[in-house]
Amino acid sequence: MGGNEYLVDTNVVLDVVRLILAAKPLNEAVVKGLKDTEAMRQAVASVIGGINRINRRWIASFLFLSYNCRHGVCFVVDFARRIELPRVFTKLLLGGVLPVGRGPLLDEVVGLAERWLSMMGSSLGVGVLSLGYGDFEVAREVVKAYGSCGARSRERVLDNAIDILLVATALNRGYGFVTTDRRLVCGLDNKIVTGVGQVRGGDVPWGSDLVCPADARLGVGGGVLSAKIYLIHERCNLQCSERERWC
Amino acid sequence: MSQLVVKGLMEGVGGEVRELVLALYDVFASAFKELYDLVKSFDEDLSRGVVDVDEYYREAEAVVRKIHLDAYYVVSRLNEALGRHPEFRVLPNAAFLDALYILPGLLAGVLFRTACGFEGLRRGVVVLLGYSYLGLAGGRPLDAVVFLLASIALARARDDITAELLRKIGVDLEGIVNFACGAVELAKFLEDRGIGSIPE
Repeated sequence: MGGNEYLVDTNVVLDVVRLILAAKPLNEAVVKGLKDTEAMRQAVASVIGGINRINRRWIASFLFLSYNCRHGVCFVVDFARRIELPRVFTKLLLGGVLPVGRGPLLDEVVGLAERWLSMMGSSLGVGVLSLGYGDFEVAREVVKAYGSCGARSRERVLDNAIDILLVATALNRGYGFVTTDRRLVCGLDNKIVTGVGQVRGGDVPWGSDLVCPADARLGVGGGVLSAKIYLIHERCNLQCSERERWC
Repeated sequence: MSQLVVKGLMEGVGGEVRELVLALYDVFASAFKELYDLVKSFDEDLSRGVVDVDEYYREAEAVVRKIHLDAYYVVSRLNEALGRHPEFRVLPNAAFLDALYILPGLLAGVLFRTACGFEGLRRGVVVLLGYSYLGLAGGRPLDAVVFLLASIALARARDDITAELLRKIGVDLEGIVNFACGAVELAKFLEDRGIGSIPE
C-alpha cells in the first residue's frame, strides 16, 4: 500500500512541459543575442497575452511535482500511453503542427506517445502504472455509489469513466491523486471526495495557493479505502456548487 | 552590493535576461525590505566561512512575514523597473497582478533552459536561481528566499550549506536539478518535432 506515492493526472505532467515551452521565444531571442527591441518585445508578449500565455496552474504543477516526485514515487497510468497522449499528439497532427509521415497514423501517434512516456520516466522519474482488476473493482464500487444517487448521477460518472478509474486506483492503492480536473473533484464532492475548498489564501497578494487538498473515502466490503486528493487549479479554493456535484 | 551577489550567480546567462532577473530582484527586494540585508550578510558570512543555517532560515521566515502586502506598490515598482527595459514594455496590456507571476515564471523557464546547457556547479547554481523565481511566481516567498540563498552558497562551492538550506524546505539539490533539466529535455523532444505548445 502507498505511503507518499502519487498517482498523477497526465495533464499535470504536461503543465510542467508547457511552462518550459512557453519560455522558448524569449530564450531564443536571448541565445541569438537579439538587440532588436521589437523582437524581444514580441517574445515577451507571447507569454503575457499570446498563445503561450503562462498559466499559474503550470507553475503550481511544476512546483508540486518538483517537491514530491523524487525517488520514483510518482506515476501516470498506462491509459496515458494508449489514450491521453495519443489524443494530445493527434490534436497536434490535426492542427498541422506535426508533420504527417507515410506510415500508419496510429503507429506514428502511439510511437510518439511511447517515446515521450519513456523519456518522462528517465527525465522526471515519473513511472507508468499498469492498472489491474482490483482497481477496476473499486471503480465499479464508485459507480455503484453513484447509482444510488439516481440514474443521472450514474450516467455522469460513466461519462467520466477513465477519470473515475484514476480516483479508484488512488483509493485502491492508497496513493495521493494529483489532478487539474476541478470538474472531477467537484463532481465527486460530498460523496467520495470531502473537504474541498478548505485551502487558505497564499502569503502574497499574487500567489494564493493553487494546490487544494481534499480527501477521498470509499467503503468497500466492510472496510474503508482512503486517499489524499490534490487539485491543482486556479480556482481550486472556491466551494463546489450544487450544480457541479454529480450526486 | 546584494545586487552584485545575485549578478554573480548568472555567469553565462544572456545579457537581456540577466538584466531582467536583476530588475525583478530589485522590485521584490524592495517589497521584502530586509532581503537586501539578508543576502548581503549571508554572502559575507559565506566569505568568512561561518554560516548558521538555522539562523538564516529564521531570518528568511522573518523577512517573508514582513512582506509588503500592497500589490499595487509592487506593481508600480515593477513598471518603474521595466520602464528601463523597452523590450519588456508589454505590461500595460496585461493585468497588473498577472505580471507578478508571469514574469518570474517566464524567467524561471529561461533560467532552467540556460542552466541545463551548463555542466556541474553552474548548472545547480542557475537551476536554484530559477527555482527562486518559480517560488515567487507560485506564491511561495519563503522557498524563493531559501532557493536564492542556496544558489549563493553553491556558487561559493559550499554544497553542505546548500544541502542544509534545501532540507529546510523539503527538497534536495540533485532531485530538483534533475527535475528541472528533465522538464527541459521533454520540452526539447517536442520542439525538435515542431511542437511549441501543448493544447489544454
